[in-house]
Amino acid sequence: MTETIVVKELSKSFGEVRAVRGIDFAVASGEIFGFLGPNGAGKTTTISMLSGLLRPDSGSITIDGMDIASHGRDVRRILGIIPQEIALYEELSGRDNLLFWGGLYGLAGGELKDSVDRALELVELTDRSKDPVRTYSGGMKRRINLCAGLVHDPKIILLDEPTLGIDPQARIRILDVVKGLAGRGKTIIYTTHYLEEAEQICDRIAIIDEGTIHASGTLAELVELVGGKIMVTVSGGFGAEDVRELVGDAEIDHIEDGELRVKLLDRDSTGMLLGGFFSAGLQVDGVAIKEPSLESVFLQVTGRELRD
Amino acid sequence: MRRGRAWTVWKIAACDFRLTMREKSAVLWIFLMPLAFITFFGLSFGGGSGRTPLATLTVENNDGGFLSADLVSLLEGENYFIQMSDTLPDGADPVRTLVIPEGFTDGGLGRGKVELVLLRERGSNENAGRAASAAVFRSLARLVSGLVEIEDGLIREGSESIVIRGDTLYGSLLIVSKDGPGMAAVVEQRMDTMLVRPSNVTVRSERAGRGIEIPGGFQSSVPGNLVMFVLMTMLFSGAAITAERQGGLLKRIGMSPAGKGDIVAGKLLGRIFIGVAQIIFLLAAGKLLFRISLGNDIGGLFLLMLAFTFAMGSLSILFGSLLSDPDQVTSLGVITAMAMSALGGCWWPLEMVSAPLRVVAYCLPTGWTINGIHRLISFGMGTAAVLPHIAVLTLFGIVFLAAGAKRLKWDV
Repeated sequence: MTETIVVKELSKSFGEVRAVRGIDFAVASGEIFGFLGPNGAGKTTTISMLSGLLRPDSGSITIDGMDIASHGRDVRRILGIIPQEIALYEELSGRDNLLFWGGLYGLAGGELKDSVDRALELVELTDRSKDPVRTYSGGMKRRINLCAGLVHDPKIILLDEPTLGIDPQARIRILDVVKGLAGRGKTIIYTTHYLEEAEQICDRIAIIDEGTIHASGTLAELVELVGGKIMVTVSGGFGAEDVRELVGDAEIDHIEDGELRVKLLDRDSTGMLLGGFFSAGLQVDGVAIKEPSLESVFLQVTGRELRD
Repeated sequence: MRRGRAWTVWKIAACDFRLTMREKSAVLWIFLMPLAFITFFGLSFGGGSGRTPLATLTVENNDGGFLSADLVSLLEGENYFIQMSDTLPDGADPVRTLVIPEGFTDGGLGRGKVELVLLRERGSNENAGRAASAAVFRSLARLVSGLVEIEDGLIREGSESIVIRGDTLYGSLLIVSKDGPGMAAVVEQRMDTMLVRPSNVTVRSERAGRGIEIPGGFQSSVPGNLVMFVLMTMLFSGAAITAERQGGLLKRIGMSPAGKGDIVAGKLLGRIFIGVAQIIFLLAAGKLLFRISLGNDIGGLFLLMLAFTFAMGSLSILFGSLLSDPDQVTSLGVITAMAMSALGGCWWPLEMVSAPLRVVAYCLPTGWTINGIHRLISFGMGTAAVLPHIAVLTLFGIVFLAAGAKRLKWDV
């Protein structure tokens, strides 16, 4: 498959803060590529560099065969960018906003009008299109925000946390639109800190934290990284040394007084481990079991949970 | 076929113009408040248009005849604000008073010698006093010439009853010798007809070279408020740029094919559209509503104001780029607009301020603009006379714009 976006050794610092640290990735044509990471991981900085808004300190970005450093304007013409903020003119109607954003991409006259009509139909807001945006609900604003990045029918779409702060129903609608766009052959980069969104819509996922891509691949490939094992966390009144022998050959992910996190093959192994605890008279206050998932992958590769 | 950069600049400019015109408070400040200020300051500085009354002349009219009434009305025609002494409030101390003695009309008709007295307060303006004397003499001359003409007519009509006698300015003017009071009524009627008749000969006085004429009333308040309100409109518009930076709109525009240069050009053009709308509206109001003179070169006046709008629109972009909160921009805009208006001569004529303050005025865009307007309107000069002003304002604009574009950040 053709690689539409190729990023090599990309870095960006703001003063002392190294926001992006030499990341590499490539996105194939027609693919939804997810960037999964917590706030401050470097996702938005990466999107800003991809859109030409920020100049990288080092590294290169090639989009549709064009180097963004030398063909910034041409690259931006084929990009549709949906920012994290709801960046719309609240006093203008939804339609007038789209006419403005479409106009910025060079659309005019009948072509602009038709594009706006199509975009409004896509997000099901035709009937409210003449109302000022300030009268819209949060979910409707998110949809028009999405629409404003699509009105010029871009080849490549960059979505920066497009479902931030909206209700589940509106989120489902937006995810459906994104999946529909992918179905029409658009290349999409989707940043999120919601694991379930990444699992649900992304063909491939890059796990990013502190400006570094820790792992990337399809969901199955990422789960394979943790060996397909379940992660068991036991907490209680025990010392670290008391439980080492009980674990046997199992891989210890983390151990300290009062907490043990260990990778086990299956749930039967968990029962055996807990039986050992009880036989040894060790106090067990809680047991948490995590099946192999993106969350456990995130924990594995970054050393912390996504919500930390 | 997709449009190019000029289209993008146009879209940004048109959007800013549209957003401003949709805002009720902006329309209030752009169009209505200037009218209120012009009216208030125009009336405070004497009201009227080009022919504002020169001064106040108090008249103590002790005569009940028609000739004294005609004299008062002739003095009003001399562009004096006439205040009758019997309408003065208690304790009022008029600067100059014309005393019309009892029997003025009878004396004028030849029944006795009369004397007009012009009283002037000690220490009052000498030039104004001389001007008042001249006005009284001119009015008397018209009155006398009227009487001469009436006398001449009556003689040709066969009457021998009226003859001219004595000093036309100080004494009896004509004698109604035989026909008595009946002839006075004839004279009064003819005099009324004559005084409303346009003169065959008029004398227009003009200054040779550059006179110093301090404009007053609306002639002063329209240009001053025009400059001040265009300045305020421009500076306050910087807050919209900061708001767009805060809300992520500018960043989103920056992610479009529009380059930074296109965005700055669009923002500036939008502000110029707003400024031009305001200039056209206020100049039209000045001409049609306040009846002021716009000089002989309206094109030059428009070019000058356009250059001023460019300079101040650029300053607003600088403000919007430097500050991170729209309220900060508004506060700085108020302070800057007040200071530049006062020091630049928007509130009072620069001729009234000291020499050092005049130097300060020429360090400011407002000073150059007010001086340019003065040249075009008060001195009736053409565009060539304000080309240096336009050049200086353009230079101000280029410097502000370059600094604003350099400092412009996508977010706060």
